[in-house]
Amino acid sequence: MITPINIIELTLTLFVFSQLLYKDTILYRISTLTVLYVAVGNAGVYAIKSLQKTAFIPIMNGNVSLIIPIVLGLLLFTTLIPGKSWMSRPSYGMLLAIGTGIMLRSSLLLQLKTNILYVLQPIIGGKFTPLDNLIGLIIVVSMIVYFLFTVKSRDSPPLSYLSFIGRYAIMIGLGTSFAVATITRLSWLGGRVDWILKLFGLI
Amino acid sequence: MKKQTSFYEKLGKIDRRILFYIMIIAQAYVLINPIGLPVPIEDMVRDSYNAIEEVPEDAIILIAFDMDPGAWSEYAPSSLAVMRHVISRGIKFVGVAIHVEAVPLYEPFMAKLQADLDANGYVYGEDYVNCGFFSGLGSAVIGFATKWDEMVTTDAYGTPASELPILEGIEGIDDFYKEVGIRLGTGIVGGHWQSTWAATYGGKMIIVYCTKCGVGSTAYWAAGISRGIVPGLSGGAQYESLINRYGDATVQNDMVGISVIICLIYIFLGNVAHYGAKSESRRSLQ
Repeated sequence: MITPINIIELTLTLFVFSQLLYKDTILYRISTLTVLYVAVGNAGVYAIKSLQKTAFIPIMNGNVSLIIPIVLGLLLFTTLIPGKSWMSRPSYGMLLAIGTGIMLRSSLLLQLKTNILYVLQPIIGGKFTPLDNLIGLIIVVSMIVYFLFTVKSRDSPPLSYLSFIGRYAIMIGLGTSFAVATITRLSWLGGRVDWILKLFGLI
Repeated sequence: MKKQTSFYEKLGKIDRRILFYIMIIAQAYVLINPIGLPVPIEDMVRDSYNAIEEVPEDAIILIAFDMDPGAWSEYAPSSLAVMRHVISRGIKFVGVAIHVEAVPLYEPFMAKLQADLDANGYVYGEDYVNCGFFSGLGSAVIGFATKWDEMVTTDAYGTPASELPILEGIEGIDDFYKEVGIRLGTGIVGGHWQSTWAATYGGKMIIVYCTKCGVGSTAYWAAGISRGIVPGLSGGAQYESLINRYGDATVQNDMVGISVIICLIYIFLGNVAHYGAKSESRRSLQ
């Protein structure tokens, strides 16, 4: 059964398709802006609900220390008041410090750990075939050499060969990323086609 | 005098809208008449299946419902396949989200699983729970891992955690089955789970991503940080094949296969037009 929500969904989908199948229209812009504003509104509402769960309820239950982050959060809004924006600095400082701390602790660890573990895999065994492992190792080493800008010998053999392989490895990697992104977009397009066909009972 | 347009120039100037019409008609045709393309099982998908098979009966696993409306059509079928496997095994699960756009998608997603939940005797609050959205991305994940009981005071509907038996005694990551967790959804926030829950606190996850993000995460699986990856519709089709329940992912995987073939034809024709026009202009200069 087609519901009013389905009709809104179908209308917005067709508005977006109008750009693809006809030309850039006001309908297309209306639909994209609607999605954007709904996303912003949705994010605001759920951020407040999240605060309720993680801060307001615990504060009411006696965990008064959580008032400090709430005050710091409110101070961020002082950037909107001319002459009082200095009051937001401690909050931005905290955000920056926590962000950097998390990044150093986890993101850096993940990137290093993943890549080191991946490169240290034995050629025979591991998750891939020996040929895949060998190619992976060569690509990692050659790309490191390609980015060794401070070493003069990079431009003469044998490092220049590795640098050459590294350059092509980057190109293949970027090409693959583009191809995979295209497949993803095609899946999304097909997903809408599938939804429309199901809505009208064609499948 | 008007210049005569060559075949190659005409080929290179085909209206892009015609290409989109052909693509959409082909996709619709395949969705109505599935071809049944072969679906070879990749190791990363088989590892995901095996990891869920290994979960002990009394274990509780964490599921990150970080779905995104944009990519919903791609990973919803894969996520459903994985969740059907989890439910068929009777595994208890606790859901959280750190991606705000995932929140409105939770209900429609779970509605598709309702029949499976009922068939396997799942009771909300005892066997599964939705703890809802938490802001803070990486900070929220650190909170889940270290101070769960302080972070999660209620479920998504406001029921106090103390009234939800499944949450009893959960204080952090060690109270979950750390060898398997599941990440459903977008890669936008996926890195926070990988870097914090997985790399920092040792909670291994199965990643159900869209194709684009899934390929980028292969190194996590190869390095042993993730238990497995189910990338996009292709991964979903493979998973449906493993659990022997064919659904949307299998049909839509056919559609993606045909779309890719059409894309390759477009690329070929584009190259023919480009190099043909180039050689023609070179000839005319001589």
